[in-house]
Amino acid sequence: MARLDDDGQWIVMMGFLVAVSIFFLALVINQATLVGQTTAEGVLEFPKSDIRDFTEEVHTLVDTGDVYNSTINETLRRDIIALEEARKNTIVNYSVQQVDISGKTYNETIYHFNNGVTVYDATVHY
Amino acid sequence: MKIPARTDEEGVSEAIGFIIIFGIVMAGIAIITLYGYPMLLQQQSNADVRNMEQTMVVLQNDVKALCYKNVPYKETSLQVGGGVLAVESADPTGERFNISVIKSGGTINNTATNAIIDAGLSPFSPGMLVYTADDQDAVVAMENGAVIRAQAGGSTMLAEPRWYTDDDSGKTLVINLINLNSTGSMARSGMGEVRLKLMPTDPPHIENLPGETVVVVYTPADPAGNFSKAWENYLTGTLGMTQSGDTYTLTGVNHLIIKKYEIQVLSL
Repeated sequence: MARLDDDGQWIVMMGFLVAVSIFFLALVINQATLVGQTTAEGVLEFPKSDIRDFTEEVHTLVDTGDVYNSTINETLRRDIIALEEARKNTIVNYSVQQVDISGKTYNETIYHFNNGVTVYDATVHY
Repeated sequence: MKIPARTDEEGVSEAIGFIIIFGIVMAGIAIITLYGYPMLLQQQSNADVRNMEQTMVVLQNDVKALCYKNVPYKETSLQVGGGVLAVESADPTGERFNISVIKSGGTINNTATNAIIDAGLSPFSPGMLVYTADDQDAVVAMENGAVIRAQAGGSTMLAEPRWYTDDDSGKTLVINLINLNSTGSMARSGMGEVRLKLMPTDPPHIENLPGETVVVVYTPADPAGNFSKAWENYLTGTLGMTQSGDTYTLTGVNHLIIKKYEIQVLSL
């Protein structure tokens, strides 16, 4: 009588295990499509050059004598605010006054910058 | 007495064994056909819609570049799968925003409101780029600078427009209106290229007010493209406006800045 030889059954079992592992691998790969969904949204960069343009313009005004006894040229200030609003879609404001710190007189400049994404406030003495 | 172990094959029928195995195989095929395949199609369709959500955010970034970064022209190649991307030009009788100003006593500020109307800023119809999925109830739209996903019974805002308040020197409310238009009707399925062009823009309209109330009324389009919930959540949540019906109010506004951009969709 032919003897039942079950020595090779592990081959069937390994085949089964490989099939199951491929199934789980497929699940994992399916999840991978979720990655990268938010990368396109990561374009909100800090408007460094916009802020720098604005503060440099004000610096120039302060350096060329826009400040005299805490008064600033209101026409120029309005122009800058209007230009920033029209060209950069940004609300800016600044004020300059002279303060005495340790016996020295400094120009204290307060900047405000808001473009809807980034709000930047700074106070500069020099 | 010891019974010798032997392979007892009494009661074993080859026919019954075959029927059982065949039955299991047929049941497996039936389950996969009835449940597995539709689930696979559903997954495919979901992936298409999700891809389109990302694409819309990319297009929104294009629009942002056109409006806020002085870029005159933008083009983006994209793949529209499982549905159709179309342009809906601004329709004055369709979806629209009305902006008006109310004095602190509750009466309408006719001077400011009429100035806004005369500047062509109210009523404002945005127009939109809209994707409609074939196999499921899903609409992804980019309108007025926002990306919105809508289904029957609700809508959510995936990416917000750039309306904001600033409290530095009095309360300033900035409303950026973005209008999408095309010369003819356009629709696309498959690979395409979206070309957008910024039309000449007027300077911002500025109303200086003594702390008055700004009113925004949102009138949705037909029920199929109803984005009320998305706008409601945005206006009441992010901007902190007060809602009553489709009317949203923001009190104590000293400066109201409204800017309107017009974008021409040259092709899809």
